[in-house]
Parts: sequence; C-alpha cells; structure tokens
Amino acid sequence: MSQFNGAAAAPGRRTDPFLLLAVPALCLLGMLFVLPIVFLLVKSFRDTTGNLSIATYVAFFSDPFMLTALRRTIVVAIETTLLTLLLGYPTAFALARARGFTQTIILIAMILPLSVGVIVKAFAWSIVFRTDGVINKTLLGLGIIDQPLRLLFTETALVIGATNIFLPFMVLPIYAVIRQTDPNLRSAAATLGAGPLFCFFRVTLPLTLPGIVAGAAFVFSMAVAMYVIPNLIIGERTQTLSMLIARSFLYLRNEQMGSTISTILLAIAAFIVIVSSVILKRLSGRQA
Amino acid sequence: MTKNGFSDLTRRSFLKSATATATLLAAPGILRAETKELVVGGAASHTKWVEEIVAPAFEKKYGARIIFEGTKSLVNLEKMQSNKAKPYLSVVQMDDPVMIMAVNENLLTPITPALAPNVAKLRQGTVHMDGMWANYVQPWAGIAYNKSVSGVDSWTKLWDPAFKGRVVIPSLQNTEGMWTLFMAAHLATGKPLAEAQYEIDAAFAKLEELKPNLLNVYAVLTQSFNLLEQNEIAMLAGQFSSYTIPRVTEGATIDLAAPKEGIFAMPSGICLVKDGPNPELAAAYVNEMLGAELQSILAESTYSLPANTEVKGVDIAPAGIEVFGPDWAFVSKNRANWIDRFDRMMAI
Amino acid sequence: MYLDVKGIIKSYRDNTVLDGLDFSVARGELVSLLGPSGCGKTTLLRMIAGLVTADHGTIRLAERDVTGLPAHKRNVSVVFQNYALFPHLNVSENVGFGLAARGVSKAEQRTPVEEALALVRMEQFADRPISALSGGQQQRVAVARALVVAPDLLLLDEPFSALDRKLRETMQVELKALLRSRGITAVFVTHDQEEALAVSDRIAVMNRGRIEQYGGPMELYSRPATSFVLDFVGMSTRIAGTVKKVEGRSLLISTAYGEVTAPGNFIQGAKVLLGVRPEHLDPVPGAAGSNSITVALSDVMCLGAKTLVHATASGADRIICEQSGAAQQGLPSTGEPVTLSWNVEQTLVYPAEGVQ
Repeated sequence: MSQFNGAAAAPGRRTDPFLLLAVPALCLLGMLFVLPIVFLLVKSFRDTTGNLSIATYVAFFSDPFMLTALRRTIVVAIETTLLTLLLGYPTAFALARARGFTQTIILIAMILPLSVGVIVKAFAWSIVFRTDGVINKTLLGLGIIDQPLRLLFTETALVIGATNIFLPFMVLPIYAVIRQTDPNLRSAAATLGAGPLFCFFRVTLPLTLPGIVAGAAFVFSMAVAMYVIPNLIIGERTQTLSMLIARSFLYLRNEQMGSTISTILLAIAAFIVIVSSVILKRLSGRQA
Repeated sequence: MTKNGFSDLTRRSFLKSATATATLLAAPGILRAETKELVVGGAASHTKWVEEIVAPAFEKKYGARIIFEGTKSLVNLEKMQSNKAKPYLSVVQMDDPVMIMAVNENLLTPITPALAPNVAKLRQGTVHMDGMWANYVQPWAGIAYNKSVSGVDSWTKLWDPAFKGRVVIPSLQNTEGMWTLFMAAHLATGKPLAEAQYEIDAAFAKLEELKPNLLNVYAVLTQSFNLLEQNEIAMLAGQFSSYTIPRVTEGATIDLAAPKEGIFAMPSGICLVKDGPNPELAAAYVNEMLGAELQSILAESTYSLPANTEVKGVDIAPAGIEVFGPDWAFVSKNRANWIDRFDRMMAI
Repeated sequence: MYLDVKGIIKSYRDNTVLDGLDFSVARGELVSLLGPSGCGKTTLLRMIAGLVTADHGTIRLAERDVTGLPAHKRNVSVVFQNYALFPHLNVSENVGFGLAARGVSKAEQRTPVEEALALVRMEQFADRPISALSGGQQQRVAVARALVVAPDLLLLDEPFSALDRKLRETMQVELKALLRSRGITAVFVTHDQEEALAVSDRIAVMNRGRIEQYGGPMELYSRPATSFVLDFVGMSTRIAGTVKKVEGRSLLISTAYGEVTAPGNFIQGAKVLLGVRPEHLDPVPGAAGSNSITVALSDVMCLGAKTLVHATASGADRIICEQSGAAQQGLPSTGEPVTLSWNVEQTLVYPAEGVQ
C-alpha cells in the first residue's frame, strides 16, 4: 500500500509536445493583445515630449473626478460579481440537476441572450426601469414604495444590466465544477449526520469554490472593463474607467491619460486574475 | 503652397479628371469587369439614406459599390489618422469641427471645381478652407419634445423647474452638444449668438443651473431618444431634423421645436481623403453629393437644408427663425477643454 | 428484530424496483444483500440509509420508526462503493466529519478520531490528503469515518469492488473481524457471492425487487429455495426435464440424458429444472438407487485444490462435476463418454423457468 505514496512525477520531465498545440493561440494573443498593451504601458509612463514620467499617474490619483470613476468602477464590478453569484450559484445547481429537455431549456435561456445585442437589451431594460416600468409598477402595487424609484441612469440599473449579460459566465464554470463533483459526497455527509446547512457549508460550498472563484474572476474582470453597457445604461454623468479611457483617446486626444487609465484598469483586472488563480491553485492543491 | 506645387497639382488634377472622364465614358465595360469598391466613412445616422438613396444611384451610374462605414465623427478621424500611410477610406462625411482637426493633421485633399464641378454651385459659407471640405445638406437642430409638453417655443423651457429630472442633453463629445452650450451663452449674456458663442464661462454657469432638470447627459442617443418617445423625459435638447422628423412621421408622439431664439445648422461636411484609393470615383461621389439632383432628394428625405443653390422648391427650415452656424475653428481649438470641464461639471 | 423493513414498494415511473419487500437484521448480525445489478439491492440500502424514500412500507431501526426520518437523523453510516471521501479534507478531517456534524468540538474530536484511525491501522496517515491514499487505504478511512460516530447500523455498498482480488480478500477478513469485535450490525450490498459468503452471517439473495431466499451461507448453498438462488450462489449442474411419474415424494424425471429420480412435490407432466451441486457428482458409475448419466466430457480444469470436469450438455443445461485435489486419474480424455452419478437425495428440483 505504501508504494502508492511515493508516486511522484518522474524526474527530469521533458516539455509535453501537446503544449505546442497552444502556440497558434498564443501567437494571436501576443500580436493582438500583448504588443498593444506593451505600447500602452510604455506610453503611460511618458509625457508629451517622450520623456519618462509618472506625471499622468500623479494626475490620475490626485483628481477626485478620476477617483470617483475608479471607486464606481470597482464598486459596480464587485456588486455585479456578487449579484451574478447570488443568482448564478443556484442556477448552476438547477442546471446540473436538470436532465434532457429541461437542461437544454435552461442552457438556451442563458446562452441565447448573449447573441442579442446589448443595444436591443438596453431598450428592453429601459422599458423595465422606467418610472412606469415593470419594476416600479410591481413595487408600487405591492405597496413597498409609494413614489416610483428612479432606476434609469443609476448604478443600480447598471449592476442589474451587467448581471443580466454576465450571468452565464458565472453559471457555466460553477456548473462545470458541480458536474465533476461526486453526488455521493453529499449523501455521505448526510449519512454522517450533516443537516442540509452543515452539508452546504462544509461540503458543497468548499467543493464548488473553484467554480465560484473562476466565475467571479471572469465576471469581475469583464465588469471592471465594460464600456458599451455603462454607455447605454448610465450615460455620461456617471463615468467609469472605460468611459474615461474612450474619452481620453477620442475626445480629449490625451493619449498619455488614456494609456495611464488603461494601465490602471489592466492592473486591477490582472490583480483579480492572479489572485483568483492563486486561490484556485491552493484549492486544487488540497485536493490533488 | 509653392507656385511649383500649385502648377504641379493642377496638372495632376487635370490628368486625373481627364482619366476620370475617359473612365466614365467607358464605364459600362471596364468598371463592371471588376467591380470597384469605394469606402465612405460617415455618421452612423447617415447609414439609412446613404444605403437606400445614394449608394444605389451611384452604383447604377458608375458601376462601383459603395461600402459605407457609419460611426462617430471622431472615430472617423481616428480611422484616417491611424491609416494615414495607406488610407482605405476615400471619402468621409463628418462634422465641420472634426474637419478642422483633419485639415490640421493634413489628412484631406481639397475639393476643386476641376474634380467636382458642383462645388462651385454651393451657397456662401458652405465651402470651407479653400475647398478642404464642403457642406452638402444640413439638418437643422432644435429641441425634441414629447407631445405631452405644450409650447416649446423657447430654449428657456429646458430650465423650467416644472421639468425637474425630465430633460436630457447631449454630451459635448457629440456635435449636437454644442447647441445647448451656445444657447446657454446666449441666454446668460443676452448677446446675439454670433457674439455669445465666445462667452463660454457664462455658458457653463448657465448650464450649471440646468443640472436639477437633467436626468442624464447622453453620448449614445438611442436610449435617451427612446425615453423621450416613452414620455419618461419631456425634452431632448439639440436634436436635429434628419433624425427626429422621420420619427415624427412614423408616428412617435414627439416633435421637433424651432424655438424663437434660433436653431442651428448641423455641420454636415464631406471631404476627400488625401491619397485615398480610387480618387476618380471618390471625386465623382463628392460631385454627386454636391449636385442639385441628389441634394433635392436628400434635402426632402433627410429634412435638411440643401447647400446647392440650384435646388428649388424645397421648404425645410421653419420661416423667420435664425439658422446659426458657429465658428468651428474656435470650437475646434477649445473643444477638448470644454469636454473635460463639462464632464466634470455634470459628474455625479 | 433490530432492523425491520416491511412491505417496501418503490417504483421509478413504470419500473418497480422494490416489490413488497420484507427484510430484517438482528443486533450484531452481519448480513449481505446479494443479487445481480438492477435487482434493487442498492436502492434498498439507500432506503435504509434514508437517501431514498419508499412509496409504501415501513422501516424500523433500534426500536424506532425511521421511515420518515431524513438520512442525517437516522444514525446509519454508509461506506460507499467509491468511498465518497471528501477530497477537500484530509484523513483526520474526513474521519472527524460525522463528529463535527454532531456538534463535537475540534478538541473533543481528537481522541475518537485517533482511536478510529488506529482501529483501521491508519494512524500515521492522519494528516495526509485523500488523494495521496491508495484504494485500500481509502477504504480503511471510509470505514473509520463511518464507525467513529457509533452508528446504530453500518451499511456497505460494494465496499471491496474497487480493490484488486488479493487485497479484497485481506480486507474482507480484516473488516469482518473488526465489525465482530465492535459488535457492529452491518448490511453489505454485493453482487459477488463469494464475498457475501465470506463476510456474512446471513445472506438475502435478491432478484427483481424481491428477496428470493434469506438464510445462512450453508443453507443457501445446500438448500437453494429457488432455481435463481441455485444459479446465483455457487456452481451447479442444471438439467431441464419433465416429470414422468410421481410416487409419493419420489419423482421419475425424463431428461435429455436419460431418466433420473429425485425427491419433490410435482404433478405428472410438470416441466422442471434439476440441480446438483458439482461436488455431489462422481465421475464413476454409481451404486444401485443412485442417479447416473453418461455424457461426453468436454473439459477438465485443474484449479489447484479442486478439479472441475465439464461435460457437453444440450440447450441451456450445464453439467459440471467437482473433484477435490488434482484427481484426474481415471478420467477419459476430452470427447470420450463419461458416466456421472449422484445420490438421489442430493437432487434439487425446481419448476422450470417461466412455468411457475
């Protein structure tokens, strides 16, 4: 029995030739993503005359207008991530539980809206969010509010709209993890005396955590960088970092500031991705 | 421009137009043998009429396909700039202020009567900077309002406290955003628009007073326009005839007001891209756009003021209201600052 | 009885999995549910555990009716076929899980967890992750995890099927000794008759949602109640026949190999199945009063402690004779006729399949 314990990887491992399969994709990424980003990074650290400078970073972090947008961007991304998690987690379970036709319906219901343009969705949302829209009418009808709420052009509307779009990116990774977990584990927990809550927090949640972390990383990094959705939903009075980037490049023709904000946005997204992959590694390290 | 350069240019132009004429005569055979494509940049809102009116007529006459890329003026500028070494756009239809920037960055080539004879027939003030660009038809801009609001006869109505949270204005990123700014200057100073347009501090102070009424500031029109039609908002400032009136005729419960203080001529310009592909076809396209025949159709179908003086019997602008065209050079010089100042002022 | 399962009916759509089943286990007894896959044995096990609800019937355990109780309130531990150890917990956390679920503090868990691990000789592995364990080690942990909570009943679902043969036999002996010494009442589910015979006091042979026979290993083997049990438990010679004459409890049966006498209660003309355990057959002509048939020898297999002699049989019949040791002397060669004889009293008679 003990011979199984020493089953470590063979020494002197050579590069797996299958890794070469990723080369075309990596080349594409390199050309379309890494190179431009390097340009952006370089530009963000130069002033208009081309000298090394961190002036635009100083300008960014000392400007309340920019900081408000930074705060809003992060808050909206966090709220969107939490809301997609809240809605997506049970959905992923329903999806994993469902069979055949029902499963197809849930999948279609989630994937199909992705193919509907954001603009079309924005029109739909405006109908829902209006003062005499569905949400307000319902809340008024239920007597929860006695004045219609202003939802249009608010951060609340943005979070709801972004959640609508990003939901599948939360559901699918969690679903994939659930699919891989042994349903007997929950039965085992139950027979060992674990009630539903204990079972959820000690078995289900820890086991699906990798899916949650992956989904949260997806949604957060997309939400932090979204441009079209805020443009359509909250308009110009409530700026986010992506809107500031577009504004800097296109309207103010201030490429230094545009590059700087891009770099900051990238740093936030990279931070989240790195943190989540570290967490994922830790999690799988315990199980593998 | 040096004398040599000038003579050189005229000679080249002559040769070009000679070639163009020859090509046109031989058009049915040669051009159809390999269908040429002419890429035209323009505003997204132009897409419908370019594809439905201009392109079919042009394709029929010249046998070349028009590929229209509709986006924002500033995006068009960006496209020209980043492809400066090897342009792929031949003609661009964009707003005058952006034209000035394009001229400054040496991206345009002049529309000469030799290239496009119709440029000589345009009314005063529509050909700019020695033919670098020309206006073809100009929509006019006022206030779009929901029909539940009565008597939008003055721009002061936007400031009426009765409309708290029910007004939307365009961002200064959008050309039509300038109208609220200039009108604010006029209302604040009492000076005529021609003078008031330089009183920007007064304009910003007046816009500050508008904030309680503002539900939002838009950069993308669609959502806000939708809200106007749904009566979620009462007024949408700076709207232009070519977009609003078709919606009115389609039955939306909105209308476009021409308030007594004045309306604005939208700066719809057309230009030739320097060293753009298919120069002969490009010149022919511009010439058609400036011609009386196409303009009389466009003026009516887009509810715009024609620039060609030979267009007759088209009644577009409301009578007795001043149509104002601002000093775009001044706008161009200051716009980035204004946008920054405006965004900060409007930020929540 | 300690565990009493009465009148259980369970259907999934049109498929009746358990069909009015009764089953009981005495305190401290080790019992196996034996049957082919799809016979309902796993459903019955999950039902006793509380993981599946019954359509009809009651389950009583240790003097209380547990029919309506959810799994976590039954105090019935399960060792799953794949062990179902929690991959995100290490060995001692796995073992302590049931105690934690019962609100026992981490500190208080220590002693019982250590004891349970010592019981399965896994104390050195307490801090290992599950993925670092071999199959046999995982099974020990699963057993320790199930026992540490002092369950009223231990259920084991094919616990040895993931182990290779040698390890399986060792573990069977070990586990049986452990359960005995702790006085655990346990129900094994298995499709492997040898395993059932090895680990249990009593075996319930299941077929199509019913228990065909419930008894000790010897009883099942020597007195199979049905032809299914005859077939499923141990090897047997099986010959189809028709009752030709009835004389009291003695039947004269005609078969494809001649006439045979057997004890039983059948009417004349009944189609029957004759069964004889292989060790009761002798490859020599029998004395007067015993049965004997002459058939062609088809194969001789020497399995060390015993030798199996197969003979050519017609239709679904099967003729097999077992000799102890390597006693091949005196056997004709393959294809040659051989006469096999057995005592009339060793002949089992069942109604032929489908004629019941």
